[in-house]
Amino acid sequence: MASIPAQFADSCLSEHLVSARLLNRPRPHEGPLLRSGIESLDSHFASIKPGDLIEWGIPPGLNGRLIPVQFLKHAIPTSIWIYHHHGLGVFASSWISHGIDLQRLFFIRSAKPVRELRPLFLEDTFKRIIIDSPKNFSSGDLAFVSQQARKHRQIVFLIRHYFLSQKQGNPYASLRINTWQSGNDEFSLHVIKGHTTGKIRIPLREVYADDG
Amino acid sequence: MANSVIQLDQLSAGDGFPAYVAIHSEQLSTNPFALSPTVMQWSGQILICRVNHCRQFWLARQQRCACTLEQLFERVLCHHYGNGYIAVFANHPWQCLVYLAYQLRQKSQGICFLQSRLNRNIFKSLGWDCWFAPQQVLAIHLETTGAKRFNTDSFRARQSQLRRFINRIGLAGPFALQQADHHAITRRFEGWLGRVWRWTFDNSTELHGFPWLALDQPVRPAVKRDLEYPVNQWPYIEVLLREDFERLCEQFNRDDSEHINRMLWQITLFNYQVIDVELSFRHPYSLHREIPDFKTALYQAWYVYAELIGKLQARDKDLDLPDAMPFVGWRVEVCERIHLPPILWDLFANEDGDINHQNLFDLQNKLSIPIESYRSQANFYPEQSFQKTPIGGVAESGYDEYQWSASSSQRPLFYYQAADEIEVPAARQRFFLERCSSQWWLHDDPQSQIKDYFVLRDSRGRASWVYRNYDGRWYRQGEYS
Repeated sequence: MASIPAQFADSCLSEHLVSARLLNRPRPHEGPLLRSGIESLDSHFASIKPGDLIEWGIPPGLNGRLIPVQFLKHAIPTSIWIYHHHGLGVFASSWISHGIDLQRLFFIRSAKPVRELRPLFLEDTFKRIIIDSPKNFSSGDLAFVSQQARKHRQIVFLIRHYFLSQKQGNPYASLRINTWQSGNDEFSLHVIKGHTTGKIRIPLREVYADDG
Repeated sequence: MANSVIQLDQLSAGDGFPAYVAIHSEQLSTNPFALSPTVMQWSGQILICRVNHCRQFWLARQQRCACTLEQLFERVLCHHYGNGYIAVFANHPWQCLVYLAYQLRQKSQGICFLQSRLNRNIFKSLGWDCWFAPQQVLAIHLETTGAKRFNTDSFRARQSQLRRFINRIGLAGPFALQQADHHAITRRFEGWLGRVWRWTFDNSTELHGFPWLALDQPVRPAVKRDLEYPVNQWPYIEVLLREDFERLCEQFNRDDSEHINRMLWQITLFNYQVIDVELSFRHPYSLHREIPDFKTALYQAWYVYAELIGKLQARDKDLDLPDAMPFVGWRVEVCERIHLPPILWDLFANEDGDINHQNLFDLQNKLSIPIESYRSQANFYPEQSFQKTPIGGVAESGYDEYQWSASSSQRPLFYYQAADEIEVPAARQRFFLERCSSQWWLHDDPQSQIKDYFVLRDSRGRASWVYRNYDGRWYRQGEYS
């Protein structure tokens, strides 16, 4: 009978978790999976690995979506942005002006993504899935999406139309972050959950640096 | 650069994908369904295909090949008919046939699009002989189909009457009499010549009484199932449907080149009511490639089932049924399919890098909602600076799209397709962005096309994209979300 590997001998749950994470540690020679080109932002995303879910808090009208968009600028795999905004459509030329390659980024309109787009999550056609302000998204949906992302080694962005807080946590998200444009010259980010938490400020010119 | 020179026959007179094509060939094709599943055998050597049924598919192929529609169809038609064919694309089968008659007289070969300005102008100058020529076969079709109020002798008499009339007043061709609408022709020369007149000038894709006799597919695969017990639960239905799809595949002789556009699912309910529902696929779908799971077909069946059960529950809520009216049997029939030999797929198989378009098409067929894809357009006017394209259809632009889209960097990512009027905002709330004007030279009042765009911030710091039109009225067109 095979013996239990040494790292699993201890019955302590937290050590199990640590040892399991060590087994799945990203290989050092691989570059970061998500890269925006903004150094202060990239440092928070350096540890993101395939299968991770990142939750964003972006209320409407505050221009915060420009921050997740930064991660779709550089040689992205085939990706999909699932959106649901009342009466709003995609203003494609604005996306292109921000450096997004629309041959690789597709869009689909759905208020209930898990119910309406189940095949999309069951297959690995898209390696980046952005779920933007879903109307109905239960914790069961969250568990399903997160499990499928791990299975297919996808990265999922879940954008909420409200600011996130630590009072209501999300065990499936490896990173939780609020973003908004503050004033006319900078973006503010508040990392709620991640390997480092706290506030970051990014000058507007860095976000618009390569645009156009 | 040769590519930058626009050919005379490519100058577009009308936009849009043609609806029909008439193909003349001495060589009989073994596959009349090469361009579309909807085909009519007009005569021994002429086929008419309704190509706009597969519009999205052909547009996606065209853009992926980065070629013109003419080049794309040329490849397909050469493969099936050799080099000696004539194909005329237009919005109505009659227009295809009239122009085909002219091309046959000219002994031309190849493809013509009546949308192109050159062909349109030639079409307008055609004489009566080209217009009367296809009417011989038309009369045969109308007679064999038993068309309402059609009598061959009366039709011929009216044709002679019209011939005498045009000889008397010396008209060169139908377009010389264009101002006479089809009602006027109907009053003077009876209904069927009036209809032919309408088909000649009408730009819509409606048949308007054209005798369309769809060519039956050699075999229309179908399977029938009578259930042992009534069922209405999807898990049971799914298992049985999977078996039925397997049986359907056997009827195709396991031919991998058969692609399905549409299937008919004829469901018999517990009260013996028969309900017809359709399983349709946005991209031609190969049943064989999904043996034994048939995931795509089953997803489409599931969407149809969920909708139907909802409707049945709403209809039968007063009846004493456990859940919804169960099914006691069904019939599945493949009603539209297209034959795409593997060689044609290989022609288009220039997959770029890591984007697997076939995966995208397969996924699209499994979804009930369309996947959207966009490309930029060389236009400064905001709403016209981009367009939706079929998935997999975005090819490299012939211009630097980043330069064109640079003007959009201050515009929002999402916009309202219908702008709402708002109250005049206070000056301190708004920040001027740009002034845009559409193609003002096309409008009677050029100044009405001017719009001044602003960023509008409310008291809570939320930003909207608004514009002021020439009348001074304000509209909200987007949100900086």
